[in-house]
Amino acid sequence: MIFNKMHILPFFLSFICIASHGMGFIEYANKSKINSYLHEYLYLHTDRDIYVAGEDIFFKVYLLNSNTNSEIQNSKIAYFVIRDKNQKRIIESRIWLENNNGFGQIYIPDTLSTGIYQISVFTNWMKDEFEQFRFNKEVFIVNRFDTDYEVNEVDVSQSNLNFEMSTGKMATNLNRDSSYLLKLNASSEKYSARSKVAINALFSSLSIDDSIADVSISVSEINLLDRNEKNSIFGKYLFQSDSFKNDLNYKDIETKGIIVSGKIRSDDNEINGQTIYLSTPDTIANLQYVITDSSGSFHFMLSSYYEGKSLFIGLMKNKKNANYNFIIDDKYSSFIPYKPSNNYAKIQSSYIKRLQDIATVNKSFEVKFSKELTSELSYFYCPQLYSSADHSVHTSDFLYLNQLDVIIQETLYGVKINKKDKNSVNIFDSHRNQIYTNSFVFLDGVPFFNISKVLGYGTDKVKRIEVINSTWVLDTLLFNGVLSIFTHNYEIFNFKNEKNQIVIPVGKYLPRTTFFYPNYSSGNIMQNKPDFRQLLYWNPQVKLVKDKPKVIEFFTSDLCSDFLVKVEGVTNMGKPVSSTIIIKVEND
Amino acid sequence: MINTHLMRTYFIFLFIIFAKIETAYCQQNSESFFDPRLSGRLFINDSKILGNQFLLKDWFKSEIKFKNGIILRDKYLNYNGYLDKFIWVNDINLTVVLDDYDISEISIYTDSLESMVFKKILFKNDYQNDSVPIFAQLISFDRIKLYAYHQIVKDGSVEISNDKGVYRKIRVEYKPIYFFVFPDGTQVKFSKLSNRKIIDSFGENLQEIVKKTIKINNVRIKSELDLIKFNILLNKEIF
Repeated sequence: MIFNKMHILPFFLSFICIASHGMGFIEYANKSKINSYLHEYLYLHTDRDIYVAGEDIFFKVYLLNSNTNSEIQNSKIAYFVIRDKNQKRIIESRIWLENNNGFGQIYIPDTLSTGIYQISVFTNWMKDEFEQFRFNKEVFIVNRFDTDYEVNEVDVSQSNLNFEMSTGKMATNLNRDSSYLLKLNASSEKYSARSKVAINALFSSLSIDDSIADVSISVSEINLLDRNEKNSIFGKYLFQSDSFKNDLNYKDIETKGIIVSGKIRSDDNEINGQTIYLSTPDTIANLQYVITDSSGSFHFMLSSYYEGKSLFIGLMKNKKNANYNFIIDDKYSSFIPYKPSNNYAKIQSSYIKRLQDIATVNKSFEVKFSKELTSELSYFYCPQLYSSADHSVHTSDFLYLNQLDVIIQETLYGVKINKKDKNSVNIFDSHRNQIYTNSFVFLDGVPFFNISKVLGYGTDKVKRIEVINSTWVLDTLLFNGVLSIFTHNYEIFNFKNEKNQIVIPVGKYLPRTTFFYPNYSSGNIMQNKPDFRQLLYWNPQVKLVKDKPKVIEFFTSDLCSDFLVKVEGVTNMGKPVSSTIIIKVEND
Repeated sequence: MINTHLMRTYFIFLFIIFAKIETAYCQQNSESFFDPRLSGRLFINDSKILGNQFLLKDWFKSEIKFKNGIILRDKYLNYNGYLDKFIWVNDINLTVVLDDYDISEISIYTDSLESMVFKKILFKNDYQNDSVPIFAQLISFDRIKLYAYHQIVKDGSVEISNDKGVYRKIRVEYKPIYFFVFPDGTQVKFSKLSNRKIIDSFGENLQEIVKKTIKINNVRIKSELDLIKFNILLNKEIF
């Protein structure tokens, strides 16, 4: 009875359905699994925790990932924000992550007032409901000229008694997982000013797969906050090891470049199904386009081609009477407010005064300790519309002509600006023996919908004109003839405020920099200059090979104090390693 | 009553299956969300050409590799030997002459297991003064690489008459050029598949080795397959 004809039919249909999509269905199952396991964490190793305004923060960002599937790509960009207790963003920057890490330096404006600030590092994925996964760290910034600040007078020396770290030989190994060990060994417990320090670092692991640890090393004057375990890479890693698993939106993972996203609205209505272009002033016509989704949202991923340029985002079909608003997502925004902790309340006013004095001396003697490294972004793609035009005219080959329509008429065959409608261009397609009446126009590489506004341009402004005199296809978008006008001085910037478009800067990635430290063994370097460096050494790119000790050498400064040697990083299998020791610098 | 209830259950089951599959496809598509877009001129078949301009009889799924390493998959392409361009069928079924400036390699999957790999290389034809970039099929890969340039050339013109009058049409013919590329970049090209022509195409310094290879191995080159076998033997002999 059950298997009569009526019952077999739906079974048969469902079988056909599954079979026809067979592979896709299996893929879906796998993908779903992958999605649920991908999760990113960041950790920020800074050279210090207390700075004077006007100094640089040296840092290295590590991207830790619970995902072990190599098919899934991680984010390639980390964002860096410093904000004050009033939620004001002081510094916004971004860094390119190569091999899941990035390093550089950030200048702290010398106008900042003394107080606690929050550094937040995050990837584009860590927004909205994932904002809780951003890595936050507090730093104390002292203004050289501030005298009025709130501090509690706590005896620092008393605090140091409780400091649970080794000094000198046989360093602490903070690792909670005994299979990964990082041992630090200093050549001596005490050093004199401007003397050579040698630290022996040995990475060992019981895991066969772990062979290299990529670490960063800082040697800086010790402060109270260095005791906080959450300030080590383990604190971060252990804290979030019970990973929050959720499906992720691929559109938010910046695997190849920055994602520019936003919404288009008209009279408070979201506009869906609209074609949005993105372009930048250049010597080639360039264009990307997307179609807005049901909520009027659009996403573009930018390659390094756009680095430091201005983006023109607008509507492909620019209706004269329509008035659309573009709302670009703020990449640095944060919904979770910053509430300062009281960690820094223990800092003595005498310590702050000392920092101010050191900074003043360094400023007076113009002591600088960093240099920029050449860095190449590995990804480059220019979305040019066409590689070579059918006709190209350089106006320098002709006598002076004072009108754009005259230039076109005199130098180009089959191209004409419509006399009745001064805002449209006609291009003759000789292959199809057809005239296109509303051809697409680019000005300085950017789509331009108001050619009537540049009709007064003569050869003094127009440098080159290119024409495509056929139907050009970009994916599924058709251009019936293309006229590209290039000017000497990028006149397109005079049309930044046109309707139905928005112009935004892209900004630049932070350059990779390295710390320079004086070598007192080779001659008279800085002999006539004071050296009160609180940061003795910073190296963000040290590779420790398993079971092969590595010697790290640097020189002490004139500052007599305790210094914390902090080594942090990850193994090639993505396991965190961390270790610290203390060295003392004393007067002879 | 039972039957109706069961039918309803089955249809709900069917609906869920469909919904799942659609969700799956949305997820997958989003991965290629930021891929670069292809561009090119709309391809219009020239009615004045007599003969087949295309290398393949159909459009096949292809993989496009850009100079910067980006790979686009599942694009339908065919190679037009007359234009030395790939013709791409886009998602709205328009045929487009692919703008290949940023493309370094194209693999056309003529079968689920077989693919034709075309690489962009500089090549100097007899009638040209300079080398120009062309897409040639890599047919044998060793220290010495063997390429086939599947050119389709003009082979005179013919007059065709019909009720409306007499028309002159260009006749085109498939005339491939094969060439070896040595590790130092030297190219040895030939168009006719015969032992004599191949020996003659090599310079004096290599002719003896080529002759020896052909003689010892009793090689008779009459097809592409013979040529591939010969390339393997030549590689063994020289390196």
